[in-house]
Amino acid sequence: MRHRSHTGLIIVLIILLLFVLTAGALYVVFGAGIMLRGSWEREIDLTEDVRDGISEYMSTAIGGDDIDIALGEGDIRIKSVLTIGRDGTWVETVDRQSYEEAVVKSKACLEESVKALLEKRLADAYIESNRSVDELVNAALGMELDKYLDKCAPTVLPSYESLQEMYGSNTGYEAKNDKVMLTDTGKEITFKASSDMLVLIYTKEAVVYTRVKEVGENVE
Amino acid sequence: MLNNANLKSVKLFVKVTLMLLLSVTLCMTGIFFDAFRSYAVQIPETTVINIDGTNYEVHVLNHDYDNNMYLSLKDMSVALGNTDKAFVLERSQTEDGESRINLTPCAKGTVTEPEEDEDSDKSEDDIDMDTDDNGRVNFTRKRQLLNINGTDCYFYVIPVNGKDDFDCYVNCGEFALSMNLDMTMKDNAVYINTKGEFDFSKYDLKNSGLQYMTDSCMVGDATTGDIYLEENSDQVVTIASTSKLMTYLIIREAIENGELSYNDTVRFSAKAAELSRTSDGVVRVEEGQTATLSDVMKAMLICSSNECALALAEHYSGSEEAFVELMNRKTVALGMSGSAYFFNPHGLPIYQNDVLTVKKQNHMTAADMFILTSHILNKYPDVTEITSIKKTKLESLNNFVAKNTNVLLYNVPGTVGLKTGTTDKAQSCLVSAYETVDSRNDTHYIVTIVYGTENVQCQSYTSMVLMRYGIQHFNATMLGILPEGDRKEKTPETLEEMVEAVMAEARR
Repeated sequence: MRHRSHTGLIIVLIILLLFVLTAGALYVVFGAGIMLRGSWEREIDLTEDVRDGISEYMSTAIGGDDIDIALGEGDIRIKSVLTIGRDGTWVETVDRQSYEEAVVKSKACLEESVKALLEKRLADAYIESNRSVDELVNAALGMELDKYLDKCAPTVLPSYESLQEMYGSNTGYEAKNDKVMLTDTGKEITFKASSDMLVLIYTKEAVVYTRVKEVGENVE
Repeated sequence: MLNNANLKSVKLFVKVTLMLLLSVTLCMTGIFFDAFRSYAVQIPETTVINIDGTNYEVHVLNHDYDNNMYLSLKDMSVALGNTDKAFVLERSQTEDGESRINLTPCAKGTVTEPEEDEDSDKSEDDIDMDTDDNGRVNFTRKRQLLNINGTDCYFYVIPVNGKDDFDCYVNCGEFALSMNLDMTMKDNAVYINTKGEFDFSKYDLKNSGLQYMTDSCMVGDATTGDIYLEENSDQVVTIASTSKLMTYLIIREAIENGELSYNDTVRFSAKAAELSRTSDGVVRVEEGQTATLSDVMKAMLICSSNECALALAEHYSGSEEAFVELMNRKTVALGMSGSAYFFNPHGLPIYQNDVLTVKKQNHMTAADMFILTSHILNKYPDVTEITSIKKTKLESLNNFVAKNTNVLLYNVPGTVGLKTGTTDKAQSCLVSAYETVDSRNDTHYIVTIVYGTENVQCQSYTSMVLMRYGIQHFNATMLGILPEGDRKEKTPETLEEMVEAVMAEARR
């Protein structure tokens, strides 16, 4: 009987092992960077900024401090989209549409607060009118309250430009292991990435992004 | 026994003693009341007035109520001494012997601050005041002739007459208006910018609440029909002697038609003579007395003679009733509201002939009066030749001197009439017209109508401010600052101002 040699099998196993080890080494060195690539989106809560803005404006009128500003936690949010390119670009842009929606919400809240102040002042002065507050405002100012506030009240939401400056970026990056270094500042950020989530861990906070689904992509 | 000489001496002694006792008693009484009074008297205070950034201390009086501020003209003369608005305060008399206080413009630095003298402090002793039954002190306001920058004005002031000195307190707003000062008040402080002018927007005016000092008011251009501002102009009000404008219109149309002439002889009836003898009489006339229609019309319009209005009505229509019917027909012809109604040609109250006694008075809305005055001014502008007369002697009425009581004729140069009115119910009313021209040199009449102010001082003040606003508005329109149809009002800038504006609107 002919004795079969196991040498070939061993060689095949060694080659497979080397391949796996090489793949593992390649993943360790480059895999994280590959996971970063794509578009990520996060939400920024501006509720407190708006609340402060409305409070400051209301405090300029007698009794304005006593008005409850009807804003719940997280009522005013904007989106910011981070795009990490294959070519090493790192661009974060505040989403214009979500900003416009936040502006509308903040104005509505300011208007409600001012209306509440007007109702309170009229009641405090025992002034009764058969006209609504809206009608009185129109008659007194020759315009609707929202138009007046647009004209004369300060904006209670920071401007788009200032938000872009605060939250946006346009730079390059280098990823190594679980760190990404932004080229403009040289700042190193620890990150954790999966297929649908990216967490950037700063010194004091962690910012969570979710992957932006492409149109037509299944969303579960 | 006393001889005659001794008796005379004793009598003299007794007389002297009694006189001394009487003098001492009177002095003590005076001191007592003076001491008692001093607790109730409101002594002039001082306030800081900031003029072009520099603070000055000026004596002020708050008449009856807080913020009804009257400024010491003497102090204002010193405070404005280093500005373009510098004036010297002097006293003089008119040819008629009327006391006049002159505010004569002078060069900067001419007025010097008087040295402080203990005796020169303004005390209650120098100020005209009276005490009511409850011991409350009221500063007495007097109608005083002031000559401001060469123009004679009448203001209600509080005079101060010291031993060697004089001063008078003048209402803050009237002073700013007449001196054309850009004056603002905030937190009890007064700020004057001498480079600016007295100026206010429709919003300022409405927000000030000045319109609420009247039952209804209007200001507008009678030539174009543009209404600049109105408050309750559709509210029916009693119109007192401003009714005489309708009497004038009917008589004037009769003259135009050749039915009457200015040279007609008007005969006063027994009814007119009787009216002249009542407390509502102005020109004393006798039954059968005659005068020219021209003089009777002047007496009616200049000094609001009720008997002359009645005489004109009877002269034209034969009876008061027939004339009143013409007046009421005219309200329809002119397109006035259905609420316009006349009971007589002069505006005095009448009682209806019924067991249920009801006092009736001519009434209409301010908007109706605007229609009437616009019609008169546009069709018969010569009415202003009569209504602008300040004082005249009416020869055919026994040389009666007719004096015009429309204060705007004095205080707002350019005012040409028209008619005052007062009854208990109507309170103090004034319909005024100011003549001006547009860029094409066409004449325009700016008309102010003020009904239902509490007194003549309030009537003249509100009319002055409204007229000032009307002139300002007209001039701005002419200069194209406020294009026709695009008149923008100042919008309240702060939230508090906005809230106040809405509350003011709600109070309407």
